[in-house]
Amino acid sequence: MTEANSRIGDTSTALGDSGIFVRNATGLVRNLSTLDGFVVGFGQLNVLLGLTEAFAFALVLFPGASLTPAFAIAAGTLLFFALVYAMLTAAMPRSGGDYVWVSRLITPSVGFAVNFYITFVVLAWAALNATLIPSWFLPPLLNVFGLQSWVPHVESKTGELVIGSVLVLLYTGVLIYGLRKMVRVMVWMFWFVTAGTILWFVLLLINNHADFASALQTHWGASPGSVISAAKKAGFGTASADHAKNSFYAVIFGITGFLGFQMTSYFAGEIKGGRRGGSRAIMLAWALGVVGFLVGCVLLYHTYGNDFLSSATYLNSSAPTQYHLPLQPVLPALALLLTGNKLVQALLGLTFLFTMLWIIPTSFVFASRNMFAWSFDRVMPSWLSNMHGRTHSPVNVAVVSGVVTELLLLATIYTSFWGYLVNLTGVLAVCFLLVSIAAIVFPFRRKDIFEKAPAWVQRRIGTVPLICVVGVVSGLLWILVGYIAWTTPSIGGAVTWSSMLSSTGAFLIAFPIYWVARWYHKQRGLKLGMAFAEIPPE
Amino acid sequence: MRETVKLFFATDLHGSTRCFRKFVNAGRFFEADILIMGGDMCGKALVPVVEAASGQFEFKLAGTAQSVEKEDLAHLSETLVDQGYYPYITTPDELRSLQGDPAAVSALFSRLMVERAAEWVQLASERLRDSGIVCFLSPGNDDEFAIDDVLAGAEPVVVNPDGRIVELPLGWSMISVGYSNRTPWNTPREVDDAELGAMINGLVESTSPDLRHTIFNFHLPPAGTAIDQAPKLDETLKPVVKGGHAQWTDAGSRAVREAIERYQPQLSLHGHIHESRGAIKLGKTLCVNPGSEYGEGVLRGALFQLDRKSLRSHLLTMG
Repeated sequence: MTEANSRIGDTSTALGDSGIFVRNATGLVRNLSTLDGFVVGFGQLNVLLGLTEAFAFALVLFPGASLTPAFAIAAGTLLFFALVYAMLTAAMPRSGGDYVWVSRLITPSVGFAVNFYITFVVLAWAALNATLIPSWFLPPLLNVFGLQSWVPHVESKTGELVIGSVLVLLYTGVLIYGLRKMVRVMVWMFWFVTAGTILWFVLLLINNHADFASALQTHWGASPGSVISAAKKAGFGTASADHAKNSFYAVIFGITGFLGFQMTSYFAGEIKGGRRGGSRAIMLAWALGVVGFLVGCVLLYHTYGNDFLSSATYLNSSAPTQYHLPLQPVLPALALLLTGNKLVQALLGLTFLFTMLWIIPTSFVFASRNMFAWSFDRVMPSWLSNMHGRTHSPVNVAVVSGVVTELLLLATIYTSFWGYLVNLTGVLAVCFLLVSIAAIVFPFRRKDIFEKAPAWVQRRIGTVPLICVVGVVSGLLWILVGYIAWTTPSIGGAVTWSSMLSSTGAFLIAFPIYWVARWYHKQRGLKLGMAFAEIPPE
Repeated sequence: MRETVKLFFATDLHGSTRCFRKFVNAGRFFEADILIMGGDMCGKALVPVVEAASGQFEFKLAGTAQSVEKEDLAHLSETLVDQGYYPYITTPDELRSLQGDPAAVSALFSRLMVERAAEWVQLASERLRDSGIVCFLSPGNDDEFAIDDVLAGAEPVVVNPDGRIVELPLGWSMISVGYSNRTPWNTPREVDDAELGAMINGLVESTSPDLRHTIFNFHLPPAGTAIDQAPKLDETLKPVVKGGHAQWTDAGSRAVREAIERYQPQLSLHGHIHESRGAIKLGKTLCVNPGSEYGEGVLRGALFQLDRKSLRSHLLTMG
């Protein structure tokens, strides 16, 4: 219904800047601006959450790593990935993203496997985030409100299960009874988080390390020096060579922090100048992400210091009996030490909490959208996309998303799922390598679409299409990321047959699912592979 | 004796000749017996290509000024036609005149739409003659009434099924309504939703079809489903983004939904909302909107296999 590259008006509309006459036809809307598209991508990228998770996970797994170079390398790596998404979005703004690109340009079974795995990761991350709320994000708020005694209960496995399950139930219910009813709350939280993030950055800027040391002593009864020396005594290494190596490995977490900027591609058809605006929105989200993450890293090291952050994290994870601070050394807790004002502390605490409450339902929406597509494409049963007769809501998809997330929540809390599952990044690297390959073959597999793409997408270096070069570089970088992820035991435990299977299972299982669906429909006279086959246009 | 029939449905091609050629070729490609176009054949925009004093031909697309040499004009026209535009070679004087004369622009649009429709009908007639494939071209709310005359002259290979019941093989029949409810764009074929309901009910009641073996071909999708979700617009018709999310809303028809729920045909075909590709069940009725990606020259469609009793299978395609 929406028409990109056009403008409102009837046939009396003068040419103006658009250069075309339009008539009274459905969908000639004023399109989303590049800025709107950017807001969606940047919201998914989520600098606050990316920094929080990167500093917590990377410093545990790679002691002493410096995240500033890690994020810088990640940004460079993802530049080519961003270009892959931007160019494919410009060429196919209405296709709906990577699922269709890979299905159309490589083969439907691979497209389904890529999308199936990305959906799995998104739901797994929603489950992880649900457990992080009681362990990282609620305790600082409880501390502000003088409810310190509640912290051990909230942080316990039972606390994680109860709070995580309530959230999963809540968001499943929201999806069933209408996400639109939640819109006002989501909007409010989004702007609260945006303002809170700016406030956090300002406080980091005006507090130097001495201010932080003083606050640490006053409020938590310790000095950075005592924490650093306790860590050394507990075995925290100081070899700079190790730290440099670990900074390189920490690129993995820089990348996971960044991902999300490409989400604009899923609705690029609605962005002004669809082809151009959608691509610009993706690149803008990437560029502002670079600024956000790098400025964040610089400010965090300026205020807290690398030695303190690494030492406190090491103590908390590797020698917990030697860790005596009242809260875990995660960014939501350390933010409280930036001010003595209780109201400002509460605002900071709520900023961190709301960013989680905002991001989790977006995972549900993303997953439900993909499940609808699988059902429509007959790879999954039709009943999955049925709507509730009375509420007109996607009840089956909501329940499946909720059940899967709850199972992943249980696995996260009671198994070594996240530590053992070699790491989702390794398989994600395979998925994104396949998207890069789709870009490489695009000019040859769908010459018709390529030749109608904007001039900048069709650009060549010599005789080689630019998109092939971009795809090759992006693919090589994902191979490197995959190699690091698969061969670095500290990321996900030892690389064994079982760990390999557990990490690749959700990707590999997609193939038999697709093949069974294809066989089933073939018995009924329909070839599933025809879904993406190009009809000759001549 | 024939036991199954294959039906291919596509919609909202909006002037894209590339998509129309694919639509016609889909018959042989999918071994379909029947082709159905669900409406909105006409394009939305006219691109003036102005002959400049330099001898080059200048035009603007997506707000970007471009120019081509005379020998590249045919290729440019083909590219624009494939994307659904109406290229119009003109002079600076005529363009100035058009800018101040809405009636002349309107007449030009009508002429180009009729010409494009006539080309399509001729193409379909030539390619499908003697093939045994029947092609139904049903107008939608965006289609000017002027194209009805073009469609009327092409039977029996090309049939306009709008506003009536048509017989299909194996005892099936199809009822078509191309009108929409009110839109913000005041399109050629739109009425109040209640009136749309009355049109549908009147058609069903007057033809008394065997509803178990009837296909509804209504341009509007049923409201409040996964196949009628469109970007929510503000009062200036700009899509709404709130809190980092694009907002979506129901854009289908209550009347269509009520008709489907009341009569419960096995299959109901829809279009209108390009973004909401999907197949959903309303009671016993499978409602399908294949969506549209005409601007990229990709034909989105839906393939169905029917036997004497029921709809056996369906598949959404994007070729």
